[in-house]
Amino acid sequence: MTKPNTASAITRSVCSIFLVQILLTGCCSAQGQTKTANTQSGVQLDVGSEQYPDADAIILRWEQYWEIKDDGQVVRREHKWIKLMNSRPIRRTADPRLDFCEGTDKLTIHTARTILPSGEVIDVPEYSFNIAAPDDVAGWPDYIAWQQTVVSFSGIEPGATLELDYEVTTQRGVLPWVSADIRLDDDYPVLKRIISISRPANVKLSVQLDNVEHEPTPDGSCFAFGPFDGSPAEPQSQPWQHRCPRLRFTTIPDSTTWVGRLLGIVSRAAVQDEDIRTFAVDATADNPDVKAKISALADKLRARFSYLASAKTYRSLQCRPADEVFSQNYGNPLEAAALYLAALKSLDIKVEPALAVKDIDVTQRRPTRECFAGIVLVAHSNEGPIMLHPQHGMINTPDSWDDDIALVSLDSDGSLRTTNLHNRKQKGANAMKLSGSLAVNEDGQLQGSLRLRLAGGFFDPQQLKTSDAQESFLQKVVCNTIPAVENLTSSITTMSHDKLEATITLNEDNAIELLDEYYLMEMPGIDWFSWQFPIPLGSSKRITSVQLDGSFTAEVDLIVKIPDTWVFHMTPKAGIDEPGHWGAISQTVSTDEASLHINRRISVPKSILDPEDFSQLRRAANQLRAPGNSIVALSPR
Amino acid sequence: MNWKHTVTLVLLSTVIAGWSPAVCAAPPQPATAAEISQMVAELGDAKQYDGHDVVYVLDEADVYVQKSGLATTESCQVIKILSESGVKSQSMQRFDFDPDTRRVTIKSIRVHHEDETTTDVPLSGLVTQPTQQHMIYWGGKQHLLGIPNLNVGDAIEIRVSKIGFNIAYLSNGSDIGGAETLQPPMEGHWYEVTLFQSSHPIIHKRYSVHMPKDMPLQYEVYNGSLESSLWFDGEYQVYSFTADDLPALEHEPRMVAPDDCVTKVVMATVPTWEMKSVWFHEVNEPQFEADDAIKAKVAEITAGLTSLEDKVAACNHWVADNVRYCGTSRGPREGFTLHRGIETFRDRAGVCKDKAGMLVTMLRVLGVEAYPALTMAGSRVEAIPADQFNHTVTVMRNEDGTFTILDPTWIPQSREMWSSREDLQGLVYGTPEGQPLTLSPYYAPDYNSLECRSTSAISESGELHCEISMQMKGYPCTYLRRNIARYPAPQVRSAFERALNIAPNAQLGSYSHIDPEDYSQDGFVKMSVTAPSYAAIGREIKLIRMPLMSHPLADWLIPDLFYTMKSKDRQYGYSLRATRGLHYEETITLPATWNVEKLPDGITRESSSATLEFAATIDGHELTYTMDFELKNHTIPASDYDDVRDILEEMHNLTDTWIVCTTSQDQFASAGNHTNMKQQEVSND
Repeated sequence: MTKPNTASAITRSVCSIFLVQILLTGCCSAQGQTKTANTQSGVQLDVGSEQYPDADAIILRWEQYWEIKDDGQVVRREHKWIKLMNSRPIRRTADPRLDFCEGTDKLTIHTARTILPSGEVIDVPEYSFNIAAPDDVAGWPDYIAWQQTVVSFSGIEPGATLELDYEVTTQRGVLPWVSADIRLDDDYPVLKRIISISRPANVKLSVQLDNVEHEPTPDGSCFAFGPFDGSPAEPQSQPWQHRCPRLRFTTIPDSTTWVGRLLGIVSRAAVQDEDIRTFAVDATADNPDVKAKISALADKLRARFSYLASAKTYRSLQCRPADEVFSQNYGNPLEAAALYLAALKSLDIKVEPALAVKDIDVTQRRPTRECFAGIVLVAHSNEGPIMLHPQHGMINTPDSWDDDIALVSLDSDGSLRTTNLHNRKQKGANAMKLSGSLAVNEDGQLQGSLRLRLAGGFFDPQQLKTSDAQESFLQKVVCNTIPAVENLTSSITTMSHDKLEATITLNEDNAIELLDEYYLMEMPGIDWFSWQFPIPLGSSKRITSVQLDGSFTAEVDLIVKIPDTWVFHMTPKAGIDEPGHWGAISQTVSTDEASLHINRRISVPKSILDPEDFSQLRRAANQLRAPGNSIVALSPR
Repeated sequence: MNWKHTVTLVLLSTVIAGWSPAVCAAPPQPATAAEISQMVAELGDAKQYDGHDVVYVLDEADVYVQKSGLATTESCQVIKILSESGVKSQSMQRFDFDPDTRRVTIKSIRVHHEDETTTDVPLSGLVTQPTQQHMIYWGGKQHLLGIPNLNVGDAIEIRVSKIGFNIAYLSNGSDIGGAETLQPPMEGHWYEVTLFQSSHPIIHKRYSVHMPKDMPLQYEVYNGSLESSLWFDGEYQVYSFTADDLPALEHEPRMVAPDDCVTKVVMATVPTWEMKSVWFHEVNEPQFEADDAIKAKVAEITAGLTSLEDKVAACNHWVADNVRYCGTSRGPREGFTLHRGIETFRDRAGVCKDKAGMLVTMLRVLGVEAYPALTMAGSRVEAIPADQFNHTVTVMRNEDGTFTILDPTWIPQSREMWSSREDLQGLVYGTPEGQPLTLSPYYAPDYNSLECRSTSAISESGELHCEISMQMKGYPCTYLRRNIARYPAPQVRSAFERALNIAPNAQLGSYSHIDPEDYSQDGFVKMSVTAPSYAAIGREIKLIRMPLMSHPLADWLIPDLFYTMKSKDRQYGYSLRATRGLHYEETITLPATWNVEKLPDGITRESSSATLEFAATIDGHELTYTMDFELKNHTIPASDYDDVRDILEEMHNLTDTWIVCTTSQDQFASAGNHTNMKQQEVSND
């Protein structure tokens, strides 16, 4: 690592400005959109709370440059000025970490300094550049070359500006391709944002912009944006990739090449080995069919094997042979897949690797390396394909992934074969209905039977493999819906991948809550569905849209009967009927002398709610959440 | 214990007896290769340890102390792997060390297989890398050695040699080559604290210290007993401590630190705490010189203040709020050596010791006699004067000779001068004349008080309107400030709404609160809250709850009182954040037609660690109640745990308590027929 110091720092600083000028001359400044970055002339240090009264910090200027040199070296440079308006952003900004791989990368820090409100400049002292191991690869011999320099700024106080300018030069041949997926704005306002990508003429570049309007420069590789407002996330905001200005670029020529290269590496590393075979045979000895074997093998391997997901581990597409990986007992996603592939093949299971990709449209455009979500092994059985992820185990749908996933592999003719795996809750057919008839007996005990129907993301068959898990799950569903229920017996009558039906019989020994002479039964506000589909109802105001886990419908339809000699004193509020663009919430209640019929229903047919929709949904949901709208009181006459 | 377990223990005892000090006419010796093989073989499949990933068959160490205080530790651990998770945890051996104070040499690693064969792991695969570092960047390193082809049933024998100190300095900054460069912080002295229990079962543990015979060692065993011996061995005296069949420490939620409950031996050659105090003073005294910039800052932040107390407070708050917690190393003397005040002032960064040093520097500008002090946050300091410290603070000598303690590390955004979370905590002040071990003060419940008052009204339609006023001191005051300060200004209102807690549909109207950085007054919050359909309306009856008993802002102010307390047969103390005093008072005005059928029962509960008083009265249509809760101890002894849990449960039950009201006229108040009270959302005033 090279750090700035005295005279040489000055030289580097001049060089850095020169480099910026070269880059900009070719594109941005040729258009007259920006000026050369310079703390003396190019960056407005006096912007502050007058212009941005609510900002904790302001990014005055933020430049990122990628340069692919003629000799194959890749330079990534970042230069940023961030002004702190109060102490709140200090923890996030005062000690940046710069990762690099010793031996293949060279880190050069051109400038690291604090510009005080008085104009005084305090350079980061030598002792405040410290080397640490990056969290995501620390503690594993294969990755000890990965280090990070922690830069601890001095002199920080409100009004100070932190300036950091560094570059990482990566040797030729280390990066198979160059790509990035860049958020252009930030939680704090960004006044000026520069992105530049330069490369030799023979390197083809693909650039994609989302959520931002921009006139492309003539050569399409230099961009100037800003200003952007601060865009902090709120509870259940969409990921930044969906809601923020975004720029992606890549030199990966096409999806076919990318997929073929990765899967080829995994297949070649899946060498047969006697130790792996012995392990696989032992792990699956008691399991006759293919699915059970795969499950047993996955459970045992996941228990013992350390899976390292960090992108650093496969930056150069490193993949040791499976026998070595098995012996060392840790590996990156490619190596883990090779080990699983070798183990499954040793059991004569027909299996092939597939690339899991976060961007389900990846076949329509050139991918970036950030699309990579792992390697999945697809085994073939009489029951159909069985998918196994080395980190997550057997999967039907990628619940443990945040987003929809595409599985991509190559057909024998070299064409792409894609299977979209939608997140279980994002599929859209999520429904819950609990219905039935209950009776309160003369002793105040609740009796009766219920029928529960769940669909889609309201349950996960993978989590309901044992009778204990099923019982506990049904108990939770029913008690969340009818808090007066404590003891029940349940039986699942149907469970498929998408549907679950169960019958529930109440066996209450205790009377429902007795207050003076009144028995009370409470319907919960929204707990009956929100434990599976949470809604951030705590706040009244939103700036960003709300992302729900999925669209859903939930309904409770109950008849509560009481003895002839009893009477209802209080029932939940009837006539709630609140439709809107966001869906609908309703509650109907009808009573006669001997029974009460209550129906609660909420339907939210879309999973993204804009702030106005959310506000209306909250208003409607609050009617169900009101303590006084949920109580049934009854007593003997 | 089943019979198999018994048999195994008998067999193991037989093995251990073969080389234990009880039957040898010499100091205890390290286990031989043959003895280790025999122990591993005798353990067999270790079925009695089902549920554990590993069991330590042997954990022994011989420490050879030199007259300089330098020590070499030769250790041997034999770890039997019982599960696939055990394979995962043991496949990579990691040895952390601070290169400024220790050398660590892996001497050998041997794998004993179930078929009684062994494999020696080549040490050529050993690599060294920096460790992960967060907030403290002192250059820690780590040796890594993978153990290939491990399987359940294997046992790993690890022999390691360490030379150095728990805290020590190099004689010069740049040379970290050999042991000769290591120098102890206190020349000629050695100390250690060794625990005799861990998260894994241990079958046999021995710890022996070989002291030069003219270096007296004082020690004491705490939290239990150990077998011990003292043998003469030529130029050495050998102190040995052993224990057998140590179960894994069963973790209990919020339990006290292991140091406070696990059997341990504390050893030191330093005769007195006073000597440690003087040493700490002397090594740091040169660090507190102030330059013009510091003097100007002190003048700036104390301008207009007349009392010394206010000036000291201003300096303490300035250091707390303006010197961020971030540790950089000056190399040779990092550890016990405070950074120069001038550096810390320029860096606006440092760890606890540097912040303490910055405050000493500023207080001396004021003419205050101030010193740094050592303390142990989170566990006891035992009387044996071994270093048992993890934290540095500031102490000032008052005119009457007494001392006042100040902690700029623990009080950012706090009105306190010393955190009430650090009560009854061991301290050694670093003064010229030397000071004994002392304790920080006890803070009574009213020091950490939360007073909530509400004037509430419920309309005929069941809508609630509350005017809530909250005053807080000490710990709740600190956490109010910190929670508000977490959020940018535009998000504070939403944060209050999420923490409101009165009812799920409650709406926050106007509200005001303390400025988190205004240390001139205690914390306060005032809120106007409404909740439509708060009361349940029936034909003849209405049901209401007590709004204040839902503990508004509890997640911010008193979250620890809501921790789940389920465990039975509690073995260890239960740590809460501080003592506490709650006083709630609410008057609820009901519609004129409503009559309270029955008031909630009064409560009077008292235990050694907590009390609860609740009483409700009715005057016309005004229902008034008070609730007082006191938590008298910061750490609840295990013997009081059940009582405190029951008292807290009783307090929490008041949250869900319904009160029945009847109407004086036979009217049917339709729940849909609301007469809205004042219901508006007003911006924060």
